[in-house]
Amino acid sequence: MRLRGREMREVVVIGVGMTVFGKHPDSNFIKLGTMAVWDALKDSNIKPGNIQAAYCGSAITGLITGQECNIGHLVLEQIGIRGIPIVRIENACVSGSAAFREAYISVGSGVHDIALAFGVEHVSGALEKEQVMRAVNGASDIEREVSKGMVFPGSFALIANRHIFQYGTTREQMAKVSVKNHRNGLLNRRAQYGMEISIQDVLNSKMLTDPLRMYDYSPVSDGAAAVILCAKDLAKKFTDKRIRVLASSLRSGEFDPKGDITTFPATKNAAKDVYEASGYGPEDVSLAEVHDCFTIAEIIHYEDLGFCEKGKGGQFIGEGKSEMGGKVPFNASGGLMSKGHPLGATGLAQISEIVWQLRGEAGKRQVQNAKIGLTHNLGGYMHGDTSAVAVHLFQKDS
Amino acid sequence: MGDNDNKKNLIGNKCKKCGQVYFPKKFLLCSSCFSEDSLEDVRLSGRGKLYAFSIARTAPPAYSRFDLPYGFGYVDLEEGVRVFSMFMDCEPFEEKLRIGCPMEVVYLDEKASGEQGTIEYKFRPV
Repeated sequence: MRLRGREMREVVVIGVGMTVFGKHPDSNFIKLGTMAVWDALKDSNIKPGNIQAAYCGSAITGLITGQECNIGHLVLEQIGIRGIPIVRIENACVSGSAAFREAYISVGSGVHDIALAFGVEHVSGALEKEQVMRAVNGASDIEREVSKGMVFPGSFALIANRHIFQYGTTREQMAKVSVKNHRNGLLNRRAQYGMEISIQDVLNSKMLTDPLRMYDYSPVSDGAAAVILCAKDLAKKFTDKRIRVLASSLRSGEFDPKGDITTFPATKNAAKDVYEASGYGPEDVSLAEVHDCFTIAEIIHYEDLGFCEKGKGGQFIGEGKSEMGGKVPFNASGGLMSKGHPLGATGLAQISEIVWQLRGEAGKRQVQNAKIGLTHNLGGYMHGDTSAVAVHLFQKDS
Repeated sequence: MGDNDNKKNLIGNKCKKCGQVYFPKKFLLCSSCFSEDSLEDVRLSGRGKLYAFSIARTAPPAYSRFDLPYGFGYVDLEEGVRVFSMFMDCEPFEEKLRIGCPMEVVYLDEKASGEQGTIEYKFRPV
């Protein structure tokens, strides 16, 4: 296995865990984090004492609760995980995938044999909804854009209007992403908003930032997810349910002051990295969990990840290619839109879904013959570009 | 942070070495060619073309200082730099806001100020 051209030892995922995503006003981040990590420990057949390093992805919980420090330590102390490096990772909505990547590097490099990555957010304790909005605005440039009238979803509204202008993408095609993901969520017991809605429901929902309506948005949720990574040569003694990490990439945006906002260079760069490192391409991917923070975003990800030509993303969903049973199912879990979006937990929930799918444990939403899974996690938006994108590829270990 | 001076001009800066224009200004070095001491202030024309727009129909209470609905987006200035701004004199939106249409800056006598900053200018369709 190679990372940026350097030889690494093989790393496998041996356990995953995830809470129900949604509104948990009576819970807190410690309880949610503890439940997800404990699930992952049981899933992997290891003991808390086996964890040698832990990386916690969390973006906005500290801003809302005042607990800006110690988030990882407070969760892991509940489980008796102590005396090891515990580090919190903030990378806006990519915090979870960035935590996973640090755990992966720590095991792949040989520094640790077993590492934990988990993500947690608890926002429904906020006294006012405005507090959550303000925290989310932190994922953009407050001085240069927010203070001048930008609302966070506004970036994606601008992108959507440009995509419509440049490629003739239709409102109906965008609505189809929402219909698909909400339907997929119906089959996921951990999803916040599984439901059957029609294209017309999306087009009739409340207009928020033209052309995006309420059903084009993902929520900001409470929840936690956890993933345990292990050196492949040691993993066999714990579990037969091993999923290989084929490749990992994390890229920041390019912030070209005159760039085309209908594409995310960080996604293209990260996709190129993982395809080159693994020797696989989009044609080999059985299913993908991608960052559908808004309907237009998923359409752009089809293009930037190489599943269709630039500008043909609308057609890709229009022809049903990303539906369950289609060419490549995207967001079988329901995606951010339907499963819910606790910022720092999202990347790890995406990885958990791919792990369940590759093990054949996804129940009613199982993608048949799933061999290679891709996760794509995007976060932050500033100066006309996304701040960061992580892409990972996974395969069943035989 | 130095967006415009008291003569009501948009002031950016430009790298003497590579020609890159910045707005808002970069303060230490040119992040395109990494030259130090190469940035000089330039007065921007305030004229450009609408690159992308949207209309905020709802916004959280923190935005209550802005009258809803309002247009906003990116304007590509003649000098080759993209500026984020709120828009004015742009209703009906469907008629007045079109990608590529000429836009110009307007300085506000009454500044809308809030906890997160001050709006000193907006753009409007010419």
